[in-house]
Amino acid sequence: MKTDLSGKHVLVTGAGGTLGRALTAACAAAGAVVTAFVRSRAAGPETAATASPDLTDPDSVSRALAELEATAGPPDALIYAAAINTDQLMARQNPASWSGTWDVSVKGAFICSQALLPGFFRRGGGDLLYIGSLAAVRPQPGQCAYAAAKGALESFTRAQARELAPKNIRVNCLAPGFIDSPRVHALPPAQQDHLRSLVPLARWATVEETAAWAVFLLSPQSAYLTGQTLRLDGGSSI
Amino acid sequence: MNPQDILPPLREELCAALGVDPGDIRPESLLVGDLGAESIDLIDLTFRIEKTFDIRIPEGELFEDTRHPAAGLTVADVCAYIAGKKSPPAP
Repeated sequence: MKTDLSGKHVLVTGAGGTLGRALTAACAAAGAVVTAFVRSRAAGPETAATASPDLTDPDSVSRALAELEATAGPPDALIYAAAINTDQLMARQNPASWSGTWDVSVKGAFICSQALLPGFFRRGGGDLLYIGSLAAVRPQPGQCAYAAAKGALESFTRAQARELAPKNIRVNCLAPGFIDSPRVHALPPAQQDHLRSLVPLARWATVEETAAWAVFLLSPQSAYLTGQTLRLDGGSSI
Repeated sequence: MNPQDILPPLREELCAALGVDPGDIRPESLLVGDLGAESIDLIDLTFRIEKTFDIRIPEGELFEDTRHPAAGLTVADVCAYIAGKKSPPAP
């Protein structure tokens, strides 16, 4: 699958995480100029990273985008990978924890994408890609807030795609399943075995193959695709 | 800023936002009925007009409810609105 993002400026939020780093690297390898928003520079990718604005604050995001336009030029695409996942049984979850998950995962996606629209309109189009999750359709215990937020992101994808298609703006969602990452490896071996048993293809996804699909979804090869959630989960959602 | 100075740059933005030919844009042209503007186009136009003319258009002021755009709004109406925004306030 040869994909090319030459000439595109891709903004990646949540770029300090395992998947975020891979997304940043894959977009750069495909020829894109990449701006990586990371919460902490220490956690950032090896490519140029920018301290993330508060993604839940419209003024903070607007200021950051104005600075970005002045230095690196306006983004042509957004990969919204920022998320908070604090697994906690719903019976013990407090509203602040619930809101924190929602604010970063959903409200932030709304704020960032809205802030990019004037530029997308002016340049005749753009691409929005949200990172969803298998949890939206196959949640594990403790994932009520996260699963609901990722489910909302899928609905947001469809609704936004409908609104923005006339302006040549595509909106899609990539929903990975279990990714080979420190987060998975930190689980007890028995739980790892259980989760792997839920995957028909019987392995974790690599971050590289996950990021490759993100690149495809931003590329001209997927130009006719919008409003879709691509479930890259080894069959887990079947 | 005179209304006649507003039309040329506004015409450029209308062409870009609506994909119409410059010759189709006359002062009496209806944005919706003649130029085919849809609700999302009016959002686009709002952003463009704000940037080009360096004005701020409060939500609902020029195009009212963009989901149900005013059928009678003409290019001349938009010019007049911009001219009003660019005029210095009365002493």
